[in-house]
Amino acid sequence: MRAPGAADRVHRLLSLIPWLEQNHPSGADIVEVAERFDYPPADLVRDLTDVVNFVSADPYQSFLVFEILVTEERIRVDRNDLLGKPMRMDPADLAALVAAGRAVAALLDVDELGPLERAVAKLAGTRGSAAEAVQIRLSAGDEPVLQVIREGIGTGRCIDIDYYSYGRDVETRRVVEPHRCLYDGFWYLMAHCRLAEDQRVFRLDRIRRADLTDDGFRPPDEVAEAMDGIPVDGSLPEVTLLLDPGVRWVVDQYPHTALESEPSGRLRVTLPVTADRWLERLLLRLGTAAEVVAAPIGLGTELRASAARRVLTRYR
Amino acid sequence: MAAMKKLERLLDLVALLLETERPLTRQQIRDDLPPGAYADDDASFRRTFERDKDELRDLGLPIVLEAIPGSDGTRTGYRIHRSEMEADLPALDPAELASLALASAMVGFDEAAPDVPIWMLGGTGGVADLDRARPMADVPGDSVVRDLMRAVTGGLVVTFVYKGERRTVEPHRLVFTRGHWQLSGRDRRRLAGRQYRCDRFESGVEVGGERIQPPDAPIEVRDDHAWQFGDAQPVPFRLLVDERHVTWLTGFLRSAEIVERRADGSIVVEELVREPDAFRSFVLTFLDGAEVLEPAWFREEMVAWLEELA
Repeated sequence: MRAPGAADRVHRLLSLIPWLEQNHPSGADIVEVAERFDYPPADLVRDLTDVVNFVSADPYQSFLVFEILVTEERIRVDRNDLLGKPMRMDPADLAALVAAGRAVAALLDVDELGPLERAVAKLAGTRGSAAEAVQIRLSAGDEPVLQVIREGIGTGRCIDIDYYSYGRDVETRRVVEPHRCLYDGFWYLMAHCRLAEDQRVFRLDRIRRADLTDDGFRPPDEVAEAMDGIPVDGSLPEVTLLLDPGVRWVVDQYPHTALESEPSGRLRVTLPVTADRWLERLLLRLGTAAEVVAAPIGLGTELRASAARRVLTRYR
Repeated sequence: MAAMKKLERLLDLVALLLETERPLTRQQIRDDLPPGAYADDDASFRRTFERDKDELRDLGLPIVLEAIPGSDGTRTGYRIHRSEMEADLPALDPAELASLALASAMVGFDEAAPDVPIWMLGGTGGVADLDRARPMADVPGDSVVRDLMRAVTGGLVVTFVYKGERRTVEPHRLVFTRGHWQLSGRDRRRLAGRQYRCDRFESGVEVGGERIQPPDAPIEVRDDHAWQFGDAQPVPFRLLVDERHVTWLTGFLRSAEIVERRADGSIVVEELVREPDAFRSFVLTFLDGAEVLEPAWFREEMVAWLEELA
């Protein structure tokens, strides 16, 4: 539990005191209250005893507005002349909370839903919650696969998948030990792949089939907090392209190691190449809006030409 | 200890501003707080008071500046109206709070985005150590998103630069979808509904004071694909896709109709297209795993495009 700053503590106390008075008129356990309000217990005791009990609306402190009884284990509000109800929540915060609750609820099994659904419904019905105004959409048709994976993670069982590798343009069958699911525009699975015998990241929309197996695994002590990005340290082969201004999205979408604007308005960008197939797709999509100005042998214009010829065979 | 002294000063200030029946000038506030709350020299008092006021306002405390009655509007003072500060929030039971706290922790906003204070609803419901709950989804948030959230929940008109043009928009929805925040609303210059991707704003957001009524028929954020945007008449396109792409494609397109299933596992889908260039870009991501069948003119265009590169 981190120690909140002074302003943050004011905020918490203005919520905590009326809450305690309304919900626990005969007092409550200090540790439980501290945990509920994310307030270190020793700080809470000290703030209530040494500060809150001396708050006054006059310079001589002749009328103290609170009287909080603090014993070794319990706290009780004996007088609260200042605050009738807890503090109002910022409508934007409330809308974000409802949106987060709804986003997660959309991913849960029906039998897990109960309390979250109730909480979201209560908040969404609040005046001023602008409940529909802010939305977070995390589900994109991946729910069936996500359910299987969550069950695998929860029960420590392997998953048998058919996976389409976009970079290599092939589908493989693999057994994976699922560790963690993450959403970053798409849903990803971080897992140990028994085929590759290493950690791998799988995009859920490229898992064509996912079946839970009876084969258990020992969950790792540590799971990476985030996915490794594409290295931009020069360890991958690189191509340099001159891009027309109309295809600037390439720069926004892909990691690059160098970027310069040319006087002509074109952009000179150097991109690490993770797989030949990835570069083929990019070059075919860009067409003549991109000029390859530097590339290792086999990754330049000849790669684009051979890919174009291969796709053309379908049309002839 | 400085932190204790500040806590004491802030709480006394809140009590004073809540209890007062008239707006208080800065000097009255200084005189009415216990001695020693603020420094003696004027410049440092003023600085500290302004900072305190800003911090409390940032926390959502509605400190207002109003004309002092009887001063004919020549003097102003500060106060907090109790009705503006107190919540009208529903009571949540511990299980509801706990599930909401976890959901909030699972959807991890970036640090600049709203830090939703779950304890304002009555605490976390007893979920221990939420700081360690790992976000399942990283939802990016910056000052643009934060300002838009305030605007869209408050019904406040916003101005920003988008695609090289200054836009004034009545905001209706702010939606995080497909990894990006999208704003929808009514463009005041075009007098029409529009959708904007927030990471492509070319300026910050100015949130104006003008408030709009909640729209009867709000402009919703559409999850459409790039080839479905625009004002052109939609044309049905047919695409033949190899078996290995079928699961992904049908999940991705959603609205597309499967018009034929072939013996080798491949399928033909029909999709409505307004922007052929965007659809060509999409089709080429399949390399030789897909082929445009119809319309014939677009098939010819695909061939011409590839021949130029071959």
